[in-house]
Amino acid sequence: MKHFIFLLFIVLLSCKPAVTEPTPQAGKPRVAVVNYPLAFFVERIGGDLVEMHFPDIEGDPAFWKPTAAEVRGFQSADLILLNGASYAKWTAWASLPDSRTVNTSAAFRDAFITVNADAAHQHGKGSEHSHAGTAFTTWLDFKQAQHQAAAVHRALASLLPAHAETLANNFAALQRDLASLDADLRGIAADLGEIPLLGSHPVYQYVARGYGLNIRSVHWEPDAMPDAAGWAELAALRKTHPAKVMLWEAEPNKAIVAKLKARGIRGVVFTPCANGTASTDWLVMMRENAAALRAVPGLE
Amino acid sequence: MIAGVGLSLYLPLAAHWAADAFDEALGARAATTPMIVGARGSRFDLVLHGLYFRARSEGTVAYGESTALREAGHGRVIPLHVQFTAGGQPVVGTSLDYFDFRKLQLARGESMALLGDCVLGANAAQQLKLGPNDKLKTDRKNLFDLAGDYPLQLNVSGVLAATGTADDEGVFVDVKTAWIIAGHGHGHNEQESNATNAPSAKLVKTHLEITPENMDTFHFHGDTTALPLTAILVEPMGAKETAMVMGRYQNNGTLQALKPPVVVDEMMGMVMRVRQFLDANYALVASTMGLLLALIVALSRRLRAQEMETLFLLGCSRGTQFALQAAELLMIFTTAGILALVAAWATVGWARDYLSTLAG
Repeated sequence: MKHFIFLLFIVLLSCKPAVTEPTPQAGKPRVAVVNYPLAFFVERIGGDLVEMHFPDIEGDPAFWKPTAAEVRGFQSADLILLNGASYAKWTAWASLPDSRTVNTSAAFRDAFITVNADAAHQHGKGSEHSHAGTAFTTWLDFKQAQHQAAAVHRALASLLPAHAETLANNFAALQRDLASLDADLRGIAADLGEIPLLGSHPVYQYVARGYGLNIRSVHWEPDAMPDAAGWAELAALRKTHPAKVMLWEAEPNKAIVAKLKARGIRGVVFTPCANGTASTDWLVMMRENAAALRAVPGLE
Repeated sequence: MIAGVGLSLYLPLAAHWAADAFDEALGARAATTPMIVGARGSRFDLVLHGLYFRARSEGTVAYGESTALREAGHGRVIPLHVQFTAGGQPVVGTSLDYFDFRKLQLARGESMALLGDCVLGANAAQQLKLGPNDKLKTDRKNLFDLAGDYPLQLNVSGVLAATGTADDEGVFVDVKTAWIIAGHGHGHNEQESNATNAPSAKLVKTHLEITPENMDTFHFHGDTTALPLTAILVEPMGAKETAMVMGRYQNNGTLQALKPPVVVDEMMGMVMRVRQFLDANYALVASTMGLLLALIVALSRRLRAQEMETLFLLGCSRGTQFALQAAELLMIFTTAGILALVAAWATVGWARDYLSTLAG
């Protein structure tokens, strides 16, 4: 009888349904960003602790027009980091969850620069757009970039409280790099003094204000030869602003370089680096920007 | 007799159960909504507006207030703009956080993603006979106001699973879409921008439509933080944050913060007082019914006196006769009671969905 009960017990045990182990929270928190500078900050502070979502965007992310499916890619993120200052115009037409969205430039929103209405223009095959409204390349003033990095750090720290120390250490290292960049550029700007500079595109407002650079801009593209009106605009501008250096977002084409050279203007690449590639490192690009400014005639 | 007794039992039973169901539905919705911020005015109106999307015309609260509350870090902050209807259903302008807050699940389709997208509550979808990828126009508030708001054609992106709450009746849009319906934002079409002598789009078109082609022309004039909300739902992180939010509006001349559970309790207190009055009424009806029954029994006994005497002579004792009559009455009361219970249960069951949305 005892054997029978023992056997029955064994049979009953074997009939017990398998216990489903609670599956551990798979995957890292997903962080979506609207431009490369923010992606870089997240990479430096969060590192492998987060999964980055920065979609492949052809052209300037500021004027990207995502589809509904691409917007849903952002909606599903655990944290959405915006640049603010009306950057990424699409965020004004999209539904994003407020509780998971952080505006990284909120701390200095009172210092945004208002840009007067201008004619709309086109970047290559991209859609037509205008820079009227608020200047948005906030990160080119590295003091502002530090504020934005701090906002990224705060957001990541509340997302990953268990990794507070790692995040704080990574953030401190990034802040040191940004402070060093800021000091470098401040030194270069002091040497440049009131030397007039030209901007090929209206994206240098914050770098000009932050470092006291004397920059005035036209609306040119590196890959499109300006028309007669464009050259006339430059000539008129130079009457009051006799600049010999023009800052470009990217290397201008040779024909433009030649025509500028004929007018005694040298092109210097100072990229906002809003859109990254696999081989890009935002910090390296910013150091190259500073080095390019250091090589401006008069400082060499 | 059964019908008379049944009806006198049914009425108080149904009224009590219906009031309890209403209390339960209202209380449950209020309990999951810790705080509502809105313009000063009737507290009941503001709470019912926040909970049931009931129309309210007592001022607005600026969107900047919602942003400031969120940045203060007191908890989850959800904007609400409920001013318009589409197909007779309330258009609820809000953020995606509302769906998480109310734990709403999509039954079909996808969430709203772009301006002009909407998600329908289960009943709204059923009543309007619409599903994902269908179109829905908002209703005009005033047909004779040529310069007023124009209907906006909404794109249905999804349908919510039924919840048995007021959310089933809503047409949910992003708050920015709600502002466009209200005329605070607008877009430009090709015709407007290219032809100086072209007629106004408002005179040509019967409604506005947001398409991928014209979406980037939609914009809001002025400061978006000044754009209106009709209420803000707040879910503070704890007691301290609740106190801080309450304190923020304590001496505010234009805005108020309310705790819906407290306001609903107060409202139900009034309902209970009405119920007490009805109870007194039912007690009088029951007394009248009792007297009537006594009269009927007395008359019945008098009519059957000869029949009872015959029974007695045949050997049926007085006690047995009393027991027979008592059994008759017991059967009547039992049958009437059962009928009243079933009828009251059926009534409240049938009206439960209606009661859950009654406040709206």
